[in-house]
Amino acid sequence: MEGSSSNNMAGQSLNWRTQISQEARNTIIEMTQLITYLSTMGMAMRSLGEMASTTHTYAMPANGDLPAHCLPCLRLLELVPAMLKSKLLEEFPIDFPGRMKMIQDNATNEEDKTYMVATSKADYVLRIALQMVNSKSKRNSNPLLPQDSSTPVNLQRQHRVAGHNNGLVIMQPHHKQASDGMVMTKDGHMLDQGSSINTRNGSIDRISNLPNELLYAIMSTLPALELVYTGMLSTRWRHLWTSSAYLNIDVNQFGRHRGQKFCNFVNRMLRQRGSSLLDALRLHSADTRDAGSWITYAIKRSSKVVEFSEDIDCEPFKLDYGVVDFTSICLKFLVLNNVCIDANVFYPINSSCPALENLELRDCSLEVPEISSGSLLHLDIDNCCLFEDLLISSSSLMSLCIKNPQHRAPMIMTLPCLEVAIVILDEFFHSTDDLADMDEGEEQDGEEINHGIVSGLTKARSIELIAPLREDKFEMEIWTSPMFDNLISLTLGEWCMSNEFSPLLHFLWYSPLLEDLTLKLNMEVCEYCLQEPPTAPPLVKEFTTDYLKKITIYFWLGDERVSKLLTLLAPICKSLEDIKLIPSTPPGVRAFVSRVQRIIK
Amino acid sequence: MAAAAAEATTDGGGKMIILISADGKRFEVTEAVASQSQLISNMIEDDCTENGVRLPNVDGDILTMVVDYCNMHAGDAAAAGDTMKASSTEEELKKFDAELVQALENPVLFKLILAANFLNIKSLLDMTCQRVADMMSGKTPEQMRETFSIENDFTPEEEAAIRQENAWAFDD
Repeated sequence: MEGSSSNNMAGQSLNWRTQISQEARNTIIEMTQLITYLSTMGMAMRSLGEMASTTHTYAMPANGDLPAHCLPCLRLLELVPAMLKSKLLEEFPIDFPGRMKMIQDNATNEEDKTYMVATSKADYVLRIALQMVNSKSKRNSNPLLPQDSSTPVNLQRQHRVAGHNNGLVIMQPHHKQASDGMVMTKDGHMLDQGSSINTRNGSIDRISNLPNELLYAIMSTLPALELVYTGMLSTRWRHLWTSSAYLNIDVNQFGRHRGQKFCNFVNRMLRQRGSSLLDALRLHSADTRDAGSWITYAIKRSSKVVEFSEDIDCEPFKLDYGVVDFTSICLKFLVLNNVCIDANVFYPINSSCPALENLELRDCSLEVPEISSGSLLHLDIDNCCLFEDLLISSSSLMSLCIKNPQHRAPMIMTLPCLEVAIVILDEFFHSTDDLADMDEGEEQDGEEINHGIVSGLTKARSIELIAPLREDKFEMEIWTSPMFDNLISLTLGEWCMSNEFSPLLHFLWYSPLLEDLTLKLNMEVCEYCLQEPPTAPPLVKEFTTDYLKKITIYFWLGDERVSKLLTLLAPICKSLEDIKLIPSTPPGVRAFVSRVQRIIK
Repeated sequence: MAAAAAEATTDGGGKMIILISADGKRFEVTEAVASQSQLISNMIEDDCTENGVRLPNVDGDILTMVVDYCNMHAGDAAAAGDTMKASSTEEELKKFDAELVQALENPVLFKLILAANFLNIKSLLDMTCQRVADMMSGKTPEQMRETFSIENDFTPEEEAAIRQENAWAFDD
């Protein structure tokens, strides 16, 4: 199986697999199902005797494929329900109807994993038997009942006997088999820790006695290197890691061996895992070309979560079309950091990821015309470069967060399900480079429908729009925007102060249900904003807000606009209950203050 | 918040549930506290907690820790809506969790994992499993064996084969 195995061994391992018929495998799956099912249905346990005999009947057809010496393993199954019966299931008869499908899938997956991982026919049988033993102690899909402290020992002893006689890989080692001498050799050779060998004597290995599911839970957060190391602990641990469903790979673990060494490591690790399914891949890489294929590996193995980040010191990692394919019916949560992604690679994210709910793009270069995934609920675009116009049209979006886009801001179609929207343009937004100016020229000539930002957010309950003074895009849109019918909480940045607070007043005018207003007036002032002449203020009729209860204003000390603002707002707000003014010292002043303090000291 | 929950029960709002450990120790807790265990929560739904809940897999000293943990975290779920209150105790909770988990060592840690798993208290299970993972992080296989008293039961041949096979995983 492994690359280092000799041809002979590879031949053998292929050979034994062909000896087990599909029919036998199906029987085994059925058997596992039955056992799991019975043990989850407390009421069925009255017929434990029947179950044991059923197990045997089920086992029999497969007999032709099972070596005779493995029958003791199957007989072990009889021990466990008896223990469970007396100890647990009588105590807690809990019914979980409707779990059959899950049980079926689990059984199939487990069998398939074992089939791939096992090193020989006998090993396969033993693993299956152990799985059945384990699955009996399952309540429902998640929790595993801890085994009674006396019984597992008993089981293990029998396993060991069975295993020993047949040269099987033993899953639950309990006797000290390796001699100290051997450990010495190993230590001296491998780890230089010969001095502390004997400290283990006398203490109990509790971790290895945990059921597999709990070991998987522990392994789920282990970094990749340690995960692979667990395979070297003992026979119990030998192959467990290859079916761990979580991979946390971080190039920083490899210190000076980043690069080829890291690349080889991950490739070897993935090869050893083979077809084992994944739940989550968290990958932090640095200038490693294979990273694209690793992402695809995770997608192809049904990973629900894929988080990829290219080291921030590296150039954005180019996701190549043909290497990276996001097509997946399982993918639910996708995070990409510092990558370069184009329309071709992005296309499946829109059209072929029906389960995708969360998409986060940070520090990315996007050449993507549209984000239109119909299943997407949460979208985060943080500090990304938009090299072409991007339209956000995912109709089920509930939360949208766009921070510091560069070159241009995305356009947003009216999103009917939106709850929370945050759009933050920083002071560099206008000063990026000539690209923005050039595009503005194009836009004027273009005949495409111009979607805005603010007008797409009209259904949201909570909106935060931050930009420095002034932001034409926001300002002009708000003049013509339809009503914000659901808006309850609004946070605005400096830009709303332009034209004698005209944008702010417009927003209040268009938001009849607004209860909570926050103004953040402490942004740095950008040069572009100061240079531009003010836009002509449109006419605002007199109005009052009926529900606005709370106003919070963050401002630099000494900002004269605040008192003006309050004078303006006071007559409009009929039911105001609470005004909070939160001043802070401007950065220039702060430096001055600390210098004065130092002088005084 | 735990206090608030307790008051509610004295008002006659919530029921008290008795948990009985393997060694016969009895713990009286509110329903809100106990239902952090999915197992017990299911039992409460099924109305079979009348005569106390016997937990034959959990020792008294471990159950004490579990009950402490649940008492501490009961406010979490109960007052999820009340953000003001939640944030005021958040730090305390974090501190409590950190201290609890840091103090855990070999036998107790694994007993607690088994108990959390049996009772199906996800947050406690996650936290304890994370602790084990943290104890493994940054260690070589041999150091892991030391930490958890894992017996190396490979035959010398197997050992050599594994070492060769996994040479790629080591630095040299």
